[in-house]
Amino acid sequence: MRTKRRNRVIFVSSLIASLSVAFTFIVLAMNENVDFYYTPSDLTGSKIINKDSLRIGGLVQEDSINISKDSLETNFLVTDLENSIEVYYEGILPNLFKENSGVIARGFYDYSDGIFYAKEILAKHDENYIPKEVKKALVNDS
Amino acid sequence: MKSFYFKTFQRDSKVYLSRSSSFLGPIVFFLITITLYPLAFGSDEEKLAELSAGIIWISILLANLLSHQFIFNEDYKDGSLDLVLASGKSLFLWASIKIFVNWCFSSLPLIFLSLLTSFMLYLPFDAALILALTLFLGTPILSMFGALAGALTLERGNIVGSSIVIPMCLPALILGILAIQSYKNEEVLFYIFLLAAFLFFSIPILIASCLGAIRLHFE
Amino acid sequence: MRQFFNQLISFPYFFKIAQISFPYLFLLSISVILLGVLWGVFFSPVDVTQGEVYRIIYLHVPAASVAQSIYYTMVIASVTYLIWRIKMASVFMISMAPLGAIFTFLALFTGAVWGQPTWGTWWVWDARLTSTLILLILYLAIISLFSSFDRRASIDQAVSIVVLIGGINLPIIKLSVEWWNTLHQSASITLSGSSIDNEMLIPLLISILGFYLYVTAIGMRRMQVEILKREISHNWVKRIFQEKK
Repeated sequence: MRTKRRNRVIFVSSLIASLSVAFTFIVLAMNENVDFYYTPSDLTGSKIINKDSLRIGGLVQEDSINISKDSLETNFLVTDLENSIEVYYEGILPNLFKENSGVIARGFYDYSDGIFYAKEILAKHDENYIPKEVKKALVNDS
Repeated sequence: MKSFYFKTFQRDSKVYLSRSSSFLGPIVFFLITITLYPLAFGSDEEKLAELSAGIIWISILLANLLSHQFIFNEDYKDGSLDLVLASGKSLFLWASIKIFVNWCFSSLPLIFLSLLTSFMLYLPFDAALILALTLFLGTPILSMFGALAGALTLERGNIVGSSIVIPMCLPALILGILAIQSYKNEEVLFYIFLLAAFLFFSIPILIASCLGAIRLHFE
Repeated sequence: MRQFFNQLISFPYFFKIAQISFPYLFLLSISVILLGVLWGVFFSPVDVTQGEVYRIIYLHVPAASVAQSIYYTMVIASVTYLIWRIKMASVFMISMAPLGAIFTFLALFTGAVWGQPTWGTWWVWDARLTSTLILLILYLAIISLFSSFDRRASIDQAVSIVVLIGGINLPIIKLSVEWWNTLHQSASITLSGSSIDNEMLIPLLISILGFYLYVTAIGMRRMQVEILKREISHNWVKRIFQEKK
């Protein structure tokens, strides 16, 4: 009986010890500020972000898409409704890429000319499922 | 009372040192898998540098799982496992010691080797240091999962054990790779902390379930 | 209450209940699924961005939802088995795991068929798809455990340990896959059904309900088979078969 209790004490104390260490590490990790992607305001702000590869997210600004006719080069503006950034991309654009819809670009930001050179463009999938008629009505109202 | 745990430690260490197969086995396995990748993907320096962290992590994951599969097998076959179960000693401590010894002799050498092979795969030196750190935190998790796989399939060592355990190791692999890939940025600490949290979270749960798995062979 | 619970976990009693209720439950589930799916496919409106293709949602979302729920109920069953040694819990796990695998596969398959026209590819390594694939692997691994021991009790114990650890680990796997995904690619491609228009939501909910009913019915049937396998030499089983004759 005594050995059984001692064994349980060994187990429970190590359980508590390692779980509290694990918890400490989680708290430490949460204190780290991690940005999975940046907004145009982050990049145009005063803090300089120097990374080989980063992601920006935002909306494609209206009337800003410039698609070159004889090559795959594209220019457009990504905006978070406060600031906007010019994005340069060479490649095939995804189907769902259009004005006023969400986009995420991966690439690097050149501070000298203020252009974001994208290596990859991802259209943000619309999470709203709306019938066509309703959408039309909404558009007509506004 | 202490002597039982200490003796387990001593005996297992001796067995490791005296047997080339248990000491060299994982090393040979690791080196040969590392060699397979350039042979399959070509020797292009840029391509290998991009893949190197993943290559090393996957090879270590497999080598580690394999080397821990048979950790309880001998004790099971010669009957000493029955005695340990009946002895009333803390099985938790006993299993932890066994896994620790196994880790020291089969995983630690691999971590040092991984530093060497990282040069062969053109991984930048700073990234290699992060790699070693993530392996230091990650391999004990793999060892415990490997031991669990071994404990589940004591009677017949088969592929089932490791195939169950590999999907559960994924968080360690992902966090390790993410840490290495962001070695230039400040995010690296975030992933390393999380990996450490995963390690300490796993210790009690995995060792306890190892014991549960061992007991099922004696019910 | 306690008595009711005890009766429910006794094999003969459960067998009898399942025997009586199975046909009704099965027919009900089939008709509810048909109602939901037919309504969804033929009578609900067309989506703005995706057009007609989105209609596969009426199979995809219910399958994915059922696939996950089965795993969570299995985790509860594994805890029940490990603590109280209730055999019904292990019967439940062993009967449900193959169903879980099938529905996870169905979710992946319909997802691929849906992905082809909308994303332009059958498969993307997106967080949700990847963790669903891992769920499928986990189910298959659990099923592969069924035949790896000679003794019944060992299988039950091993399955519950693996299910439980998988259950603890699954949220962690999901989180880490999401981090992996946000750093590597298309975090943007997610499909959540939270903002669906009512006209589309109602048939979807009906379809989900139907899938759950179907799984309940088939699961009960599978549990009956599993019980017969285990209790084949018991008197109550013999009596049932004599009555039939």
